[in-house]
Amino acid sequence: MSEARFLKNAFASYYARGFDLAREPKHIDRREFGFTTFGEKLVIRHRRFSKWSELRDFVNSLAPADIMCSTAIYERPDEPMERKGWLGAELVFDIDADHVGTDCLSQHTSWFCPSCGESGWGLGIAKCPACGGKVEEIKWFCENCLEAAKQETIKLLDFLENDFGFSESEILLCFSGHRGFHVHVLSDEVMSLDQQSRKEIVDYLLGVGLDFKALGFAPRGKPPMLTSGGWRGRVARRIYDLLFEKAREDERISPILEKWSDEMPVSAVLEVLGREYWKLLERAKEEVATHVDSVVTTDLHRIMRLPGTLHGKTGLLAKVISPSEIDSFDPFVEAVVLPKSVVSVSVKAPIPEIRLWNEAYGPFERGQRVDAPKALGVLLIAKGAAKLVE
Amino acid sequence: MTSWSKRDFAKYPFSPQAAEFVDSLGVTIDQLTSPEMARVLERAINRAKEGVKYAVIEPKWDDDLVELLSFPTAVALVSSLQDRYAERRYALAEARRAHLLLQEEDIEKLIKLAEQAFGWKIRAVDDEGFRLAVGLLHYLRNASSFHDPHWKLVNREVKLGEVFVTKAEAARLLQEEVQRKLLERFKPVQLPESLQPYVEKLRGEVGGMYTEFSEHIELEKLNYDALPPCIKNIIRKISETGHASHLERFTLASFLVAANASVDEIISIFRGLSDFDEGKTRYQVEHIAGMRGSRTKYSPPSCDTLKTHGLCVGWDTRCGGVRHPLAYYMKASKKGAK
Repeated sequence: MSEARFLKNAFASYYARGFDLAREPKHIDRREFGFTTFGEKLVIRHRRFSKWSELRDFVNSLAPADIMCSTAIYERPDEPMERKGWLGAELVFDIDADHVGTDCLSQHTSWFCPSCGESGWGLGIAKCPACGGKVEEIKWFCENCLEAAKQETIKLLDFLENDFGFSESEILLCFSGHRGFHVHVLSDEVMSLDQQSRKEIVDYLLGVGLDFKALGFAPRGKPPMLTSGGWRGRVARRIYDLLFEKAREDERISPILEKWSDEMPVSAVLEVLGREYWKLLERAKEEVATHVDSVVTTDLHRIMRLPGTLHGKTGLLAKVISPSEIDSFDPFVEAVVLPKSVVSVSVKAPIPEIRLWNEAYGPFERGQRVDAPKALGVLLIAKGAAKLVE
Repeated sequence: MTSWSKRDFAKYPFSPQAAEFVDSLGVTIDQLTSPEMARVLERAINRAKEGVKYAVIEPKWDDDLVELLSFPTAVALVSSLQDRYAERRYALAEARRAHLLLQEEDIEKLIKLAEQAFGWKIRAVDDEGFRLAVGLLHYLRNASSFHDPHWKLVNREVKLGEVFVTKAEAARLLQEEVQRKLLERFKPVQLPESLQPYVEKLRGEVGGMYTEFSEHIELEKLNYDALPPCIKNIIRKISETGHASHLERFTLASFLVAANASVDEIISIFRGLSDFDEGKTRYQVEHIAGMRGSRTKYSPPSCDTLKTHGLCVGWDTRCGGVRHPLAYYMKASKKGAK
């Protein structure tokens, strides 16, 4: 059996019983759907389904690798972009470990050369050191980078609820199925936001254009309070926490904290810290910001993975998570929905240790034969790091 | 303060409440040329003319009813010109008029207008000197095109879906709202024969201003036809939407300076911006031209930079082998001269 056939079969048998976990979008008949397939790696776009059961039938017959749905609604979703007739779009956010700035990615990226079969570890390897051919890069995930993405997502949810005032019922949160999380704000009123407004929202989350002076962090301004809204309060609270930690080793700090009731004693902090104060502000800013992908949020015609469907490169479920439960969400347990039945694979490129359920698998080296649970087998084959053993 | 007065309708004739009141009077468009309506027609013509020509309408009148009725009449007159540029100028003028009046208004009435005419979420607060809390989405819709950093959401007090603003800021946001609502309102109208002479007179005074003005550029020093597509696009955007990003403004001003346009010519192009301020624009253009401050003349961004920021609108045949918009302009001007 070919690898593509194997993956397709695994997805098909999953969807035969698991399609119910997919989340039906509002106004399904106004959405554009897109798919990628296993094997020839076709990309199918501009598909319209008038009802949910039509989509289910289509998925069951095609067993696609990825099921994508437009965040926008259109008058004519099945026509080319310029004739679709945009009617509005959800406000969406993509948090990916790639944007969070963890440094583990360089340690768990491998490559494989399809022309000579050579492989190895390393990020950004352009040419095969053995034959000079073009290599395929294989990015893995680990507990560390998914935890970092989760912490960014928790910050994002806090911004959405406390600053922007969206309620939990207006927010659809899901695991991306790979290296991050997707957040959709579904309330009707955000649908008509234009691109410029969405850019302002992104700038707000990233802290782009933040003016410390305007916000009262320079002397002679209106000093921020711990209870202030927006970035004024967020940065003030972060500074307070950072100083609180610092107070243990620096006795100059305690008097500042004693002086600090609600209103931040800006001049006193500046006097004690001197130039270090501005560095502290920059650090607080960096820690308060939530690193969403700016392109995704400002794109009015985006297609994104349909929540509750499988990721074609991992076989993991883009599971819908209740925002209040993200803290305890464990993707390596809860997103693993393919079976445990064993499949034999042979390793093509180095694979780091991967935890599924509560078992650790690997690391594996090239040439190694592994009897893997199907969920792991699909992940390794879909990533291009292993092949089936007949 | 629960009901609207005739004075309020005269001040804010674009509100649905004012429109309802006008409807209830049962005045039809054919009656406009009758002697008893002479004052309405006269004010409407002046209103349209002032608005399109100077983008200003002075908020001064003595008869509320005449003032109110002149508004839908002026809108009909401007619509019948079928000139997008005139419509935009007129909408800007009405919005500025409303802005001036709102600045003088008490806070309850400002809230009422925002709620009833535009469906805003807005309430009075007393929070660190701010007096109003505006719904986030209504704030963004109106403030996201402003360039001053203090309007940026990141520099605002934002709590539970509300943005805190002063009364003056709320009035400025409402100006944008009025302008947008008015622009949506223009649609082709068929005016009765008796009004045609007035339309033609108006057209004679204000019609074709945009064309005139682009010819004017050509006649002076600037060769409009030779401008690269990226620069033409910014000019078009300013005249059609009244908005341009900071980088677009800088690109345009620095390009025109380098192409030897005069400061006055450049200012006349920027006049189409909805937040146009002559003094500020003159200062900035002179700064870019190296006539002020550090005395360095700024050069316009290269094709590469324009691409990074999405200002390159793509190719036309003269873009081949060109890495800078000025190179395009030199090349195209020479060709045109031969």
